[in-house]
This record gives sequence, structure tokens and C-alpha cells, in this order.
Amino acid sequence: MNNSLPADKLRFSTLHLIGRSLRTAFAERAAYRGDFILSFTVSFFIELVTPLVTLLIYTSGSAFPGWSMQEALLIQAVYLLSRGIAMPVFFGMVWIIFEQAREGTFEITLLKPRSPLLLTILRGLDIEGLSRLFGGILLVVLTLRALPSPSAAGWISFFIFLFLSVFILFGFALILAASLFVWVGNGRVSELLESILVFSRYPGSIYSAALQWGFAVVIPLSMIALYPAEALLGRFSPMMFYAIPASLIFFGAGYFIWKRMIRYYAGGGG
Amino acid sequence: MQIRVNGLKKIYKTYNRGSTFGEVVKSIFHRQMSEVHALKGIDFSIEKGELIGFLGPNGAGKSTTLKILTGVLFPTSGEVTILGLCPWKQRKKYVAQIGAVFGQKSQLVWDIPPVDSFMMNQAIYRIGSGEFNRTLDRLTEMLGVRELMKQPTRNLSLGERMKCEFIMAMLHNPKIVFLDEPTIGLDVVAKDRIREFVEEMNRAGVTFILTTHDLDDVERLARRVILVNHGEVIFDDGIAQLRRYFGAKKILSVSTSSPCNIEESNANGLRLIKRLSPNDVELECNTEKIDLSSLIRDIADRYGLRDLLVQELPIESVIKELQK
Amino acid sequence: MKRILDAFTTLKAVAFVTYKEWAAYRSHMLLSLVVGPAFFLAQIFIWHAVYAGRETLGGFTLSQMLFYYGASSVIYYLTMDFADWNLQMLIRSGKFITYVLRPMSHRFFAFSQKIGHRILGFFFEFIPVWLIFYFVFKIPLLPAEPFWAALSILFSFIILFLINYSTGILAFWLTRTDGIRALIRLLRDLLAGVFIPLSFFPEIVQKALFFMPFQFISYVPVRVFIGSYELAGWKISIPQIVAIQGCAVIVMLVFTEIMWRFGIKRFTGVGA
Repeated sequence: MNNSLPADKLRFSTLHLIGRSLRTAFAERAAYRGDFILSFTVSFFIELVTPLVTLLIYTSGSAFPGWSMQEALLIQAVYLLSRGIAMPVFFGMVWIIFEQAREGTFEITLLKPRSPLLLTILRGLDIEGLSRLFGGILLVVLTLRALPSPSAAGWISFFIFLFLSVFILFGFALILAASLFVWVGNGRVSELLESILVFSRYPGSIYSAALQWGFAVVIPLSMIALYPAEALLGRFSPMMFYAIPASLIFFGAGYFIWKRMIRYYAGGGG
Repeated sequence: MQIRVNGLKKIYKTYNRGSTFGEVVKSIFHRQMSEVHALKGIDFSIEKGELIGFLGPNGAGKSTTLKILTGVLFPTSGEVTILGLCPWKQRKKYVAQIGAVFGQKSQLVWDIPPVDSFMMNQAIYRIGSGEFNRTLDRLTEMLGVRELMKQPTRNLSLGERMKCEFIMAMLHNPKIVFLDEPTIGLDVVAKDRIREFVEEMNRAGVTFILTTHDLDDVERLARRVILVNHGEVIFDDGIAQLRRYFGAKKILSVSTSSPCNIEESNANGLRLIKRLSPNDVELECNTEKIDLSSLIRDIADRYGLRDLLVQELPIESVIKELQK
Repeated sequence: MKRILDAFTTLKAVAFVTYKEWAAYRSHMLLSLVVGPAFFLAQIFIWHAVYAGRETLGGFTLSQMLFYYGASSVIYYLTMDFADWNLQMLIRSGKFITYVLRPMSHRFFAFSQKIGHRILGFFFEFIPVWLIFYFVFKIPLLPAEPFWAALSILFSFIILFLINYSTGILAFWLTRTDGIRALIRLLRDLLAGVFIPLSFFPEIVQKALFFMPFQFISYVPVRVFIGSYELAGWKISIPQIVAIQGCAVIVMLVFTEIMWRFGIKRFTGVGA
């Protein structure tokens, strides 16, 4: 049996593993076809509630100061898009850890010659979450059509910020999963996350200046949807650029916490 | 030596939260810590190709030792060298060469056929397709699950599922396989099949470490037994030695023509275990003190022998004794 | 009379056991102290910004709007349950059969469970959150007419239970109900005015919503709590809307009973 593979065969085998995992994720979900289609659709509609509320606010004659309806909806469309990328890939991991920490089956992951993070992410791939991705793309396209075209700088910044946005959500997923090793069986983790993420869906102007800075550099919630949207709208601000390193630090913190928790688990904690 | 364990110690810290309300409130401010000495110094070594029964009551330190041996847990102190590697320090390299079957934790994905889970393992363990197909063919042939493995796991019976769990564990040709309650809940036929499979693989050179409460498994498969209790090894020797631990004792089940009271005349070395009727008794005989053939002749002469069964002391009673 | 007393004894027993069961998970309940106020905090920012330069919107002043959300929040902690998840879990796992074998209506059993669970919720969710609203957000959530508010909340408690329970009954027909339950929960919350007061919806929609059971879950008790009820331009007095709510309870009881009969026939028919 060969343990030391040349470097490119190693890379190939990781791709092969990802491919296998995607097939398994599809096959698993396809086992309950009818429910899948419904869940797929509903998870998209759930995310439409916030844009709907925004729509209703504007149609009743009011507005977020300094933001037109399409501009405000753009933030929420970008939010949906970013979640659409992060959730199918990274958030299934949270529920896998939830179950495995509770039933003591995480050992099985540790018995395999791969990174436990990689294996858990792959096991948790969630096809259902893709509805948000399609919905997000659709909504972004629709709202952008009613707005002036973004500049090249706008597009480039948008994609950089979107990339960071997905990594911030990944960081949150890591923190949630890690917490489940300590607070075993806490089924309300996703509620906790939602109660934090709610602040990322609205124009920055609704918060005080101090809070806006907090959402830029302490917990970079504004990078999740607001800044990518503002990039497309050509509204740049200094806070955005401070948020870039803050986002990377946040992700790093999440990764560090995850590693610490694995070590805690392997040390026999709990 | 394939496996070497030296001075393994594991201490868990637990926090006492208390049970009364007052204690719980106090515990928020000052947590009382107590130490649990799960392992107090474990030593043993295992050669390639052995089949070891690793036994002990629950809470004895068995699972802790196993977790350390599989690289999942790291000890407080002590050394473990397996296949020249330290399990928890060189985890990825080490686990690529071992396998594990858990009777109570499934590695198969529930809603899809086992064969899909097998292919997932192929990707995880980086097994070349030629080698993978050969191994898969061989294992499915041995266990007779070639068609079964294409059905969703949830449709299979427990016995069929366990066979697939075994295949899952051995697809990457591990040198050492850890078995944790592998036959639990299985019917007699399935248990037999699994045991045959383990024997065959063991003959081919795979080392097995078997943890189970099913002593039939142990009697049938293990040649050597390591008994752990209160975090220490209290017995490490062959099965035959285990049986002879309390001297060369044998159990005699005797049915006589007329009422038998042989135990009264042979107080030293003979003990009555059970009296089913005046003519039917179960005796424990210490063959180091009493010659077995003279005893039997004696019973036949005095009471008339109708039926006789001579058995080894069951390991169960030996183990119960040792665990006291 | 004896039957009522018996039923009450059973209710007390089941509620008490459920209370003790869930008391082990008190810390999970305390998370509501973070989640509820966090969502509300977001609403404060949103509506303060939206109300800049305006007195009223959707028929509410700013303070009324915040009171609306505050009241929704605490009423939720008094009336919520997961009867849908519980029932479908029992049916899916097969454990439901142990309830068929008991001389007791499972619906009544589940209702008693809800009472026990919500009593715990009263102490660990409702009161702490109410206090946070009072001291931190400076919003005293006091009902305009306590008697009608209490009655309305009681009706809402029962109706939400019946709606969730009916959703759970679907598990007799479907192997996996995750999708349909999520859909019903979404519609239920949206059309109950949880995300935004119903008066913001277009008038035709409001007219349709009046005849659906969802408004009685949250919108009606919140309005009664506030002290004035209006929907689709119709202003109705508090006693009258609570009476209508009472009728809705009866309608839902009948509906759930019918669904149950169909469901149980299917269950036992399949061979138990």
C-alpha cells in the first residue's frame, strides 16, 4: 500500500474526494425526492422575507435614508448570494458536528487519514442550500438592472468583498461547530447565528458611526452584504478597507477556535 | 514488535457541579475539580498477526486505551509505538494503516448503498482503482454481499450491514484492525460468518484487537487475552492460561443411577456447584489435587454412571473472579 | 363533571413531567434572552431610520411600532411550541404506537406537554425577556386591557398548538415532512404579522388574511395587547375580535379533529 504519493497525485486525489462527496450528497438527498424539491424551494422563499419587508416599507411611502428601494434590495440580494455560496458548502458541517459530538461518533472522522475539517465539510455538503445561490444570483441581476452599471473598480471590489464575505460566514460556521464540542447538543446554534447576522442586511446608515466601525473592524458583519453592495453602487468608504484585514483575522480566529476544540475533544474533554 | 505500549497513564479532570441548588450556585464561582485516573500505567506489546481479546468491565479503561491506540485520544503520560509511529502525533500517517469496526457506530451512509460508501473510502484512503477493485472483489466474495451492497443501507438486515462495515474497514488493506463489539445484536449464523471472516483475515497476517463482552467471540477467536480493570492490566496471557488461572479446574456434570454424594468424601479438591436432583450434580474438580480418571471410576463403582460431561471452566467465571 | 376533573388531573401530571424533563435544558431556554432582544435591537435601528421625518407609517407611530414588535416577541414566548416536530418524530420513528395503546387522546397529551413546557418558558423566557424590554429597551410591555389580552393570548396558545399539531399529522402520509413543515411555518409567521404588521400588506391581501387562521396566532393577540384592532381598513372592538378569535379556535378544533380521523385511519390501516 502506497503512503507517499507524489504531490500532484495528492492534489488529484483531493479533487477526487470532493467529487465523490458531491455525488454522495446528491444521492443522499435524492433518496427523498419529493421532500427535497419542497425544501429546496422553501429555503429560498424563507430568505425572501427580509427583501419583502423592505419592499413593503418602501411601498408604504417610507425609505432607509439615503437609499433607494433597489439599492436597499441590492444589499439583501448580495446577502442571499453570499449565503448561497457559504451555506451549501460550510454549514452542513455544523449539523454533522452537532450529531457526532452528541453521539460520540466524531472518532470515526479522526480515524481517517485526512484533515477532519475537510472530511466534516464534505460530509455536510448540502445541495438544498443551492436554492439560495440561484435565488441570490437572480435577485442581484434583477436589482442591478434598475441601477446604473457598476464601474470596473466596482466589479473587482465586489468580487474581492464577496470572497471575504464567504470566508466570514465560513468563520462563523467554524465557531458554531467548535462550540458544539463544548456545549454538546445545543440545537439553537443556528438561531444564535441568525440573531447576529440580522444586522448585516441593512444600510449602514441605520447604525451610529461607532457601531458602523464596530461592524467593520470588530465583527465584520458589514463585509457580508453591505460593502459588496456598496462596491457595486460605487460608494466607497475608508471603513471598507479596514474591514478587509478584519475579515481575514475573523476567519483566522474561527479556524483557530476549531483547531483548539478538536484538540480539546482529543484530550478527552467531556 | 508491531505494537508497544509503555506506562500509559490518562487522567481526566472533571468538574463537580454539585446536586443541591446551593452547591450549583457555588460552583458558578468556584469549580471544584476532581481527577479521574482512567489509566494508571498500562504496559503490553503485541506481535504482528496476533488476535488479542481486550477485555474488562465498563469503566475499566478499555475504551480509553483503545482510543489512545487508534490515535483519537492522547494520554497524560506514557509511550505508544505502533508500526513504528506514535498514533496521536503522526495521526494521518498512522490511521492510513489501521482499520476499525464499531458494532454500535456505523461508518456506512444510511440512505445510499454500501458500495457508494466504499467508493468514498477509496477516495479518502487514496486507493488506486485496480487495487481497490481487487480488494473489493475479494472481500465481497468472502462475505457473500456482492449483490447486497448495491441496495441502500437502510434496507439491509443487521447481519448484512455488519458484513459491509467489515468490508468498509478493510478496503485499504490495514495491517491492524480494531474490533469494538463487532457481533452485538447478530443472530448465530451471522456471528459465525463474521468470526470465520476474522479468522481467515488473521491467517493472512492481519493483527486484530477485539473488544467485546461476548465471551463466545473471545473463546472462538482470541489466542491471547489482556484483561483491564481499574485502569491497570490484571491479566495478559494465553486463553489456556486464563482457564488454568485458578488451577487446572474442570467442571463435571454427572448423572448417576443411585443418589450421589461424592463431594462429601472428597472435600479437598472437589466442590459441589449445583445439585439438580439426588442423582444429578455439577461438580468442580481441581485436577491438580484429584486424579480425574480415578474420580470417575470411583463414581461409577459407588453410584453407577449414567451420563458424564467434562468441561473446562468457563472464562466468564474466571474473568468475574479476576475482576473482583 | 368527573370526566373534567380526571382530564385536569392527567393534564397536571403530564405537564409536570414535561416541566421537569425540560428543566434539564434550562440553559437552552436562556438563549432566548440573547436571540429575542437581538432581533428586537435590529428592529429598533431599522424603524428609527425609517421613521426619520415621519409621524406614522402603516397606521403606527414609531413607539407603537416598537411596542408591536416587543409585544410580538413576549407573546411568542408565551404561546410557542414545536408540536409539529414532536408528532412527526413520533410517527416516523414508530414510537407513536405506544400512544395509540394508551387510553388517552394523544392530542390532549401533546397539549398538556405544551402547558408544562410553556410554564417553564414563562419563568426562563417570558419573564427575563419582559424585564429586558422594561429595563434595557425602556419599553414597558403592559396590556391596554389585561383581561382581554390574557384571553386572547390563551386563544392564541390553543390555535398555534392546533395548527402545529395538524402539520405534524401530515407525517401519517409523508415520509419526510421537513419541507412542508418549513413552508407552513414560513407562511404561518409571515401571515401572522411576525415579520411586519399585517397593515403593511396591500389591502386585497389584508382582506384575504382576515379570513385565514394565521392572524389569530400573533396579529390579533398583539393588537389586543396594544389596545386597538384594525385590518383591511376594518376597525373592530377588542371584545368583538377576541370573540371572533374564540370562533377560530372552535373551527381549528374541528379541522384538527377531522385531519386526525383521516390520519389515524391511515396509520392503523397500514397494520399496527
